[in-house]
Amino acid sequence: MYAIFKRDFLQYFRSPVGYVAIAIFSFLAGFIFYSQYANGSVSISSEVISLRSFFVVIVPIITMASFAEDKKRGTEVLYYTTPVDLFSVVAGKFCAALALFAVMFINVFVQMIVTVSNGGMVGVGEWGSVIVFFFMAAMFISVGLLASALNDNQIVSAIVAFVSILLFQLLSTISSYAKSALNAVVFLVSQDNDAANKAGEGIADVINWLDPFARTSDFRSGVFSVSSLVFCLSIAAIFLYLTYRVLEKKRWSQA
Amino acid sequence: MTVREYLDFICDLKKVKKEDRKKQIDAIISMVKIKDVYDRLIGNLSKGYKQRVGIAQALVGNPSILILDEPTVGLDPNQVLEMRKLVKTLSKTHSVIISSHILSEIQAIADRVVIINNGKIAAVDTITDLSRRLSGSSRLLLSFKGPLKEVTAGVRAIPGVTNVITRNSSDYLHEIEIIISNTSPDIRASIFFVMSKGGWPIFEFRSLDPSLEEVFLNITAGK
Repeated sequence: MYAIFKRDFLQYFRSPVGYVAIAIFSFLAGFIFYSQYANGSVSISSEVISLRSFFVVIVPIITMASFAEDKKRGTEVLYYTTPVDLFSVVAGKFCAALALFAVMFINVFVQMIVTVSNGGMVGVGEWGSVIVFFFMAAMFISVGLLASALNDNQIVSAIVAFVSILLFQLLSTISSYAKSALNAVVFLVSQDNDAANKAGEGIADVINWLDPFARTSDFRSGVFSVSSLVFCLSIAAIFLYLTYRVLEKKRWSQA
Repeated sequence: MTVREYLDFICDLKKVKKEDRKKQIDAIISMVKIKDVYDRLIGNLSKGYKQRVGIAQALVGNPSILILDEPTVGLDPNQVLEMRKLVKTLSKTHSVIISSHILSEIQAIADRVVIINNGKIAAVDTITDLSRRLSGSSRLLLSFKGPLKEVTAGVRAIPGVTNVITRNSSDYLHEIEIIISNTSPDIRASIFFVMSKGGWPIFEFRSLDPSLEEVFLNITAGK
């Protein structure tokens, strides 16, 4: 796994991908931080939370080439013909992408130092947001990896990852639409206001259950819930496993 | 990625032990002669060098069998010669399986040939046996200056010769085809002595056994 991790991590810096991702992240982080700083009140946790909405752009850039590039260069065959375990290939790529996030995040750590040295505060809530940021990054990276493994074309895999992550981010909007839509439909059919409300609430609960953003909203106030971290990890594990299965399928199917 | 980084990565993938690594890589790069390009980016190398890096990659971990798929495709004639040499060297220490459509290539380097037709093995043998078996006999071509009739009679008298056919005949030069039964020993020396005794100069004397190409066509067309 370490071999794949090392190769893939360095690969980010042999191509524009790593630099572009870092540049975009640095720009966004710097922009948000500076606009807070100019207003005189800095909150790292709200900055980190705003940064989460840019996963939709950054993650596809990072993951789109993960498997497509191997296919193009023919290094894919190496995974099938050497004693390396396919799951460790997936895990290595996953860790490499996460490590790139860690590199990008140096920005925020520098901003924390600036904040503290200017008499600001970096407390439990801030660290909570940072932890959530990385767990969500892990989750979305695994989504991006699956998209990359499924498509041989980088652009297609970037678009698939983009749309999938966007869906996750829109879950709260989707849930409120679904709620009012189901509410209206049930009311039309049964003319029963109570039942209609219940049905609406029900569908909203189901969709909200899936929403990682709603689940982790407590972290910024310093309330750490292990269950939501486990949720993110479980989603990541599911997608990584699916990626592994896609590779395994490719190994045994005839081209 | 440079050649060095690539081979290192392959060593990691193939789980070559750290202590053997340097020795093994040194041996490989001197064998496939990629020392000059060891620190260059693979993307910038010529096709011949890329091919060698590919072979170097395959040699990591010292496998007992090497499978090369069209190893000379896209190489210029010099590179093809070097690749042949390399394969010959490799064949001393490894079993090398080569797949190729270029039959002259195979004829030049292979010890045994497997012809596959429609996914089935059509023939397995050495090249000489294969062509012998196919024609059922060996043929020799002889062109000379001298009396056609006498030479034909003289050659025909040699035990083992089953037939002599005149291929070409002019005032100056005659060309005959000598057909020898498969079981007979080498009779080329006897033919030479017949000719030298008569004082008839030989202009050309060679085997007419079918080339691998002909063998291939024959085997694959018949079914």
